[in-house]
Amino acid sequence: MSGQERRGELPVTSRLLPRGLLRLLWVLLGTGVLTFLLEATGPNRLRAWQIFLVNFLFWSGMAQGGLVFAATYDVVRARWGGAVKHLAQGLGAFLPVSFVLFFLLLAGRQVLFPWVNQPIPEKQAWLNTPFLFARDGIGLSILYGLGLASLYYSLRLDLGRSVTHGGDSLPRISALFSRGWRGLEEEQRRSRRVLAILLPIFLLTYATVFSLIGFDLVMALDPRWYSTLFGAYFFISSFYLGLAAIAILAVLARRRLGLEEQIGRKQFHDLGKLLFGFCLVTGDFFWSQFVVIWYGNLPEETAYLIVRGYEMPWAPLTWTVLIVSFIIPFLLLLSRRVKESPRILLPIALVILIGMWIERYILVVPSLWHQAGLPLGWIELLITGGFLAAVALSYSAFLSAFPFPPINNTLHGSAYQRPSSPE
Amino acid sequence: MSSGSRELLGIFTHLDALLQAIHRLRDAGYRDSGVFSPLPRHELEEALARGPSPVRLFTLVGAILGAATGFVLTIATSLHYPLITGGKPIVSIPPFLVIVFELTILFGALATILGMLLNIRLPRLKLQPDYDPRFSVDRFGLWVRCQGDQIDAAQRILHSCRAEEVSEVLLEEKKPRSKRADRFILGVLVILLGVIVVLAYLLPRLPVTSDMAHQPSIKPQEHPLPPAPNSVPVQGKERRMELLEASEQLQNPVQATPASFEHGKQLFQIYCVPCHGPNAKGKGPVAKKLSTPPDDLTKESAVEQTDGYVYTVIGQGGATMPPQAEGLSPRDRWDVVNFLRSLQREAGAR
Amino acid sequence: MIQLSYSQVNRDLLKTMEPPGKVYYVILALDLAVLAWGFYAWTYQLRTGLGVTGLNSPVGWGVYIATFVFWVGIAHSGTLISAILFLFRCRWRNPIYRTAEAMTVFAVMTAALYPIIHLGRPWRFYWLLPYQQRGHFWINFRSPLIMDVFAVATYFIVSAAFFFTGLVPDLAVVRDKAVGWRRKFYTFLAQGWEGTDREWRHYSSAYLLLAALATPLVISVHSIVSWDFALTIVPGWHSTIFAPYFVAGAIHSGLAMVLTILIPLRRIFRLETYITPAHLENLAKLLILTGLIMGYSYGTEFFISWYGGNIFEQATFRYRIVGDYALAFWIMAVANSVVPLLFTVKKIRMSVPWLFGLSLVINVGMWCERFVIIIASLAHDYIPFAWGLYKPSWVELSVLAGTFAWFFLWFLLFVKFLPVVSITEVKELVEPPLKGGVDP
Repeated sequence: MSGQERRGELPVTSRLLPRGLLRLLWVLLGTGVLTFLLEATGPNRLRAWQIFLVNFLFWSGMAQGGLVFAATYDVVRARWGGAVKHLAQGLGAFLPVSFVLFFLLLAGRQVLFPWVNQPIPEKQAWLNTPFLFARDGIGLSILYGLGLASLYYSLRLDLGRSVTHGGDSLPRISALFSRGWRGLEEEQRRSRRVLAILLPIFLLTYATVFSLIGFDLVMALDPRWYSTLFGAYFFISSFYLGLAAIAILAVLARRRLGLEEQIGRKQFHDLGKLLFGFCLVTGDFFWSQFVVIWYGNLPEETAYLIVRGYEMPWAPLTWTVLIVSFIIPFLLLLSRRVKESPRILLPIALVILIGMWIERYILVVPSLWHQAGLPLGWIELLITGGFLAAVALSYSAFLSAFPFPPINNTLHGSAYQRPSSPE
Repeated sequence: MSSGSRELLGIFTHLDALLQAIHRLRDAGYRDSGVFSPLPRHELEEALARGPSPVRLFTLVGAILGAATGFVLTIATSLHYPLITGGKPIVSIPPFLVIVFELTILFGALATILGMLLNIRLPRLKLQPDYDPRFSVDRFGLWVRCQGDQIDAAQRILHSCRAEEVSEVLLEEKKPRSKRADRFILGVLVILLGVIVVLAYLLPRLPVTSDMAHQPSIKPQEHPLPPAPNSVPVQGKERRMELLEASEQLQNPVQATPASFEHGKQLFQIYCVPCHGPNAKGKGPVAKKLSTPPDDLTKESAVEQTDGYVYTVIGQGGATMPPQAEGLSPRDRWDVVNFLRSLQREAGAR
Repeated sequence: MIQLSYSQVNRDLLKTMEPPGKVYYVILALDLAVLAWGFYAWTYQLRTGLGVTGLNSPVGWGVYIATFVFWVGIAHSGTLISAILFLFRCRWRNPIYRTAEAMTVFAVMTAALYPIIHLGRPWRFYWLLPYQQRGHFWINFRSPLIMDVFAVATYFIVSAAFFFTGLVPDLAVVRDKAVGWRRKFYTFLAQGWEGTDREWRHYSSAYLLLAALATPLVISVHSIVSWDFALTIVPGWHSTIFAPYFVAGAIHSGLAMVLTILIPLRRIFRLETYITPAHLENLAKLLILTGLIMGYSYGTEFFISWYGGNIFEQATFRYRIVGDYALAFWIMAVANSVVPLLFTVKKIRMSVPWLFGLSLVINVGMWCERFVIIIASLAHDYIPFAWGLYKPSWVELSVLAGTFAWFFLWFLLFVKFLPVVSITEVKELVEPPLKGGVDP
């Protein structure tokens, strides 16, 4: 197998973003942080905090989605796109930031959680500040810990392989990762053993903890509303938006890093199929909730939908989400040509991602915002920009710290076919 | 096809030899050729370079047709038969979408099958003369059709690629392909289908059974016929008695057997306990909500009443107590009386 | 598998279709006897009326509907294995998919019996179809029960078509070997398949498309079955998680049933070369996944019933744990979400007797789940005034046994009339014969 690895064509460390853009991102990050700090203490406290929560959910979901993609890729022993997996893993670099941001919510609890000021007696056992932050904090630390640990074992192997292939100018952090290297065979055996246990547990924890986050940080914003499937919807949709982000990164990385060899027609076809599949699954999970609530027509359930689907100013946003994140991708991705073409896949994924951001917004904000008008302006834009910059910067730091592993895509397709065909 | 056209068939054991032969024939300019194989191999598909199959267009058209059918069927017929059910609008898009979805899949799948059959000219009963039963086991076949003067060159190519056997196929045999038999089968199938459809439409309309749906009163939006005056149910009607009369005349016909007791207990728990409470003291969970508290059935004045009195109160109700005759048959009521008596005895003993 | 040759595959797999021995006829006779008994019980029910079942107010849906849901669920894993794993390029499915797919078709055929058996006047079942009746009735498209009719009918047609499409190349193999009346029979069934490149090209394309259509279909079918319950407001039924939860449960029970069927099959027909422990292990791994989803769903349902603060929901879930049907509840909870976790132990997952035993346990657990969901909620809904208990009568149990016999009857016929392992698709796993080296 190792004979087919073509090391020379791969970038050792990679700079996805040009220097100018990086500087711009730092400015954006600064502006975002500044806006948030100013507004979160001023008269627009609610606007600042709610958009903070929206972005926390969105970008953490995306970062998790990346790691979940990589973990699933390994668990099912997929072999179609190692480079895509590496690109997905990079999203995990945002997790340490996300962890800190979660505890920042503690400062905004008075503004964000209606049940802090008006507790609901029968739900107080669940909806109270210490318990909520304790359980979600513990959940997130286990989840992020497992995610980063699996990242470590996975990367260590890749890095180690680069070392044995004579990688000379590895960055310092890589050296840290490949410390105590015990030879390729031994390491492979070890990390395979560890990952075989770690990854399934990680995926399980993801489903559980993200359900919990969905229940606690989104569903409980409207403390009277409940939907049994909401937790599952939340983690599936997080994965869906993560996939859209991975598709965008794959297109960008292919162009900027010259990965035409590693990310080709077949990889895009598979990514497109996954995107299509999870568009359907997420849509199905939405529909499963909608149709049950629509039929049952119970006031405690329907209120949530009526506000979002039929009342101004939210209704147009909801319909936008349904159209751009579900209906359009569904119709377009039916075509094989669309799935295979990075030029068409990029705008579709981008539109999905924007739609999913609006979806997070529409899940959170109408529960909190009871004044007139749509709270979507400069404050929201700048804070979101700050988050975007934080994610992009952590991502680019990841790519420049960890080189692409030697990737072997020759086994694309079915593993049983012998690679040697006549001629 | 000109009269000089002839066909050669080479049989191969090895896949790579076959591929080589395909390429060499192509290079030598033989266009009209094809392969028999026991399984699909992507190498063969690539070597023959036939392009994508048009079956997916059938699927697409079928699916669109199915979706359209679903919408028309649900919306149009619901508007035609506007009966409100469950408080939902006549045209309820969410449930209709489910039907639309199912029909999309159904029509899409049927169109896929149809597309496949049309594209590969199936079904047929007669096999082509160049088919060899070994093709379904482990041999590959390569046929090539060319002008008579080119056949030697083709034969040489097949031999050079180590074909196991090379033989010429007589085209006269191949041409007719027994189209009449195929058409006959197709015709029979179509007629059969037609008959089934007609029968399916007619049969259920034959007045074979006679039951409720036929009786004159059951027309949509009509009242059922009223019962004839003074008619009595088959098992005999209960005569309505005044309380006083009942308490003096009615005798308890049911022995206080354990079975009666058990049954009475079960019914008591369902019908009486909510107000009168589990031990008939009038302290059931619903009692708190009532302005007139339910009677304590273990008090002396209640114990003294005859069985006939208690029986009639159960059936006809009291001041605030609703009548229970609808839910409890006479036998049930006597069982409840028997059980109540035992409760009263228990309370008295205490 | 690499050592096999194409002709070896043909020889081995056609062996299953050789004339059966005495044991086969004994089993067939037993099966027919049970079927006849079930049929008798059904005719008794027809003559006497539905009163001979345990059904009454308030429990109007009993064993019949629970078993309908059970069988539709069993069907699902066949489509999972044949279509979804095909789309995911899981080639290990090739030797086992034919049996699973046959199970799907027969399970839907069994499931479809139940709503009709459940009708008081079964000859009126066509009133469920969009067909103008006498008296100008028209079906109500807003009713989930009508959705069910469309879903199950579509599922049957599509999965039967998919099954038959996959069979055609194999039928050609059988045709070329057969003699006498069998030759005519299989010539007719194989429809003139010759394995030309043109045939394979359109066939592969159609097969892929059918798989792509079957995948969303299979998810929709059990979702719709779940909506028969979830769209009402009965406590314990009205829950948004029902659709995905039922789909996962369906696949869970189906995978267990595939194991239950495959293990004796490979033993009896000596198919150990083709259906290896690795295949069974993969099925067991899938069972872990679906078992975890079941556990997640049970947990979430309980959590939300508590968190939602609806006292009726809370009472229903309490009733499930400690009420009259608590035994069935605990069987379901343990068998569906705890027992599959045993498969995380490699030794259990690799041991055929363990797999067989646990698959039976899961089957029982899943049947109990249907029973608990349907009956416990109906027996105790909003008003205590309308509470009641349900116990299946001997008629229902006899019909139940009879329909199991019906399923296995089809299966018994299947193993002798059709190749139980796909010959063509196993050949796809075999190295093609190569002469090696290229001639000048």
